[in-house]
Amino acid sequence: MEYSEKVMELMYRAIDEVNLMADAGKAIPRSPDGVLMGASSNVDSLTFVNLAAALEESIEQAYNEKMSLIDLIFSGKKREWTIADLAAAVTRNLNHKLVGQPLAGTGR
Amino acid sequence: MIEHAFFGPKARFHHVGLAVESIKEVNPEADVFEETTQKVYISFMKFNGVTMELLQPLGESSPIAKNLKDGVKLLHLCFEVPNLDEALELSRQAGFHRISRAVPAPIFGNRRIVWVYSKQYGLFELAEADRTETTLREEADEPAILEFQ
Repeated sequence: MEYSEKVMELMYRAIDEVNLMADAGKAIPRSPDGVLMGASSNVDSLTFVNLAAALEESIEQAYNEKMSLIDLIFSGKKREWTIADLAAAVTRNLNHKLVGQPLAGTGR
Repeated sequence: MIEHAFFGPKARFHHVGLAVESIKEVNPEADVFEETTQKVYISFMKFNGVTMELLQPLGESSPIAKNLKDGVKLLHLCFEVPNLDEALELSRQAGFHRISRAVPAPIFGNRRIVWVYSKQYGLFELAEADRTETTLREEADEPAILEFQ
């Protein structure tokens, strides 16, 4: 699972934005292993939707690319999504869209 | 007042989605439908001319159960649009994010519906209009007589 550091940076920025509005104890974990979706996740659907909206906007601003995280998640066929999983899926999708423009820096 | 056509100029308001503990308590005569995918019981009723979609949780893992627990009862507004894909494109320009796939909804005669979310305006449902229905409504909206000021 490889992700761009820049994508992870965008992810953390989106998480910080959403966590500002989150109730106590409902903040999204700020680590690659943090579980966003799945049986062991504590992230509720509204928080996740806010994160998806914030991240899609960040991606659009950074790369001038519109991306549907919902489509990425459905196409992944995974039952559990960590922050690293989502960052890797976003990185792969951006790499596919921005052919010949490899994203700077990779993690994991 | 400025009018914003987030979902296109032909989008029409369809219903308000409300979370309820028990549909039968609100309306004992309601026809209740079970929607297992979304884990809800659904029923429609008119309230002072406005269509309400009553949503009752189907099990504890239903998202509606969480809404009720948090005291959130007003859930969404639904708009009917002639072309779902065009409406989605327009809505994205207005800051809405698609948060589901467009899927046929049995309760709407298998017309496609999709959910969109805006950080500013919240949750909206878009339902693709039955083309015949849309055409009829457009015809009905055209003034039948000349209007004078």
